[in-house]
Amino acid sequence: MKIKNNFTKTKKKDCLNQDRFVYKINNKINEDFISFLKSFGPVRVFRDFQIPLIKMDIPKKFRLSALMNSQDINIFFKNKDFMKKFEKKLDKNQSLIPTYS
Amino acid sequence: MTINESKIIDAVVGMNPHGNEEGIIDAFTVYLTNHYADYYNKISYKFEKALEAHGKDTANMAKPLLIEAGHVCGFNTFRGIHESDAWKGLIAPMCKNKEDEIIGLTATLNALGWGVWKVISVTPKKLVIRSKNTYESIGFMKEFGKSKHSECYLATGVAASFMNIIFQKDVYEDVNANAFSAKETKCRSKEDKYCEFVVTRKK
Repeated sequence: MKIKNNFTKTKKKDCLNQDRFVYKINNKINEDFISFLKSFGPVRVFRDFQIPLIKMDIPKKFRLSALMNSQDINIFFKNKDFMKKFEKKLDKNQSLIPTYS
Repeated sequence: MTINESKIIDAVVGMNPHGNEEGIIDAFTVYLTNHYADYYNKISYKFEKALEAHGKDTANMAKPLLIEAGHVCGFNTFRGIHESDAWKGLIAPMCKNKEDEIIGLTATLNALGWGVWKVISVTPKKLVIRSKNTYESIGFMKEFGKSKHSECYLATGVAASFMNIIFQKDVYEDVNANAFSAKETKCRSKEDKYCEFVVTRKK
């Protein structure tokens, strides 16, 4: 058994040539993960979508979208310093849930 | 067809796209603008009239430029929407084929306030799409009265962009691609009952 606690991050450019990031986490997004996201601010979950959509737009922090049961999180950081804080907390959150490989 | 258009419109309206503290409407991983249609109409038709007044050499330049502007706008905006999480969660599960995706894009177009558009027919080779209330035809009639030719340039470009997004994709990466172009065959500014756009591959 090997416990993995990290995530992968991919940088993309948006139409304004700004950096956006796609985080691939180890575990599928579920209600527990939504509770984790709520620690950063209000979360909107569109539950009438066939695959529920999660959206956040937190002043001076980030904009985020993700799909329930997916492992990808799309984020635009409004504040680069906040990115480090987010990653630290995300890493800790993912380490709490062991995955087996 | 399996697309539930009213569900898409309700869902997009329910997302309440609006500007955040930076003034950015980040609705589908693209940046939308909330624009005055009359202002857009005024600057595009004044631009056309100015080029006509300038002389024969420039008289016919406005139309292709404004159509391509609409194509670039439509291609980037709706490609972003097509790749967004909102598309994957709401519309993609309804689509059984690429033709359904064209209808899904049209539903988002309607939800974003571009008029009431309806796909009449769509195949991988040809799209026929109509609108009874394009803001360009309404704006032209209000400002200049009846036209001798079709006036919905931005809408023509957007219609072409739908086919390029779904059936072509690499239209800007490969400039020699046999991409789609559109013609407005009927227009309310000519006193037709509706505006109709026919999209086919460039020859």
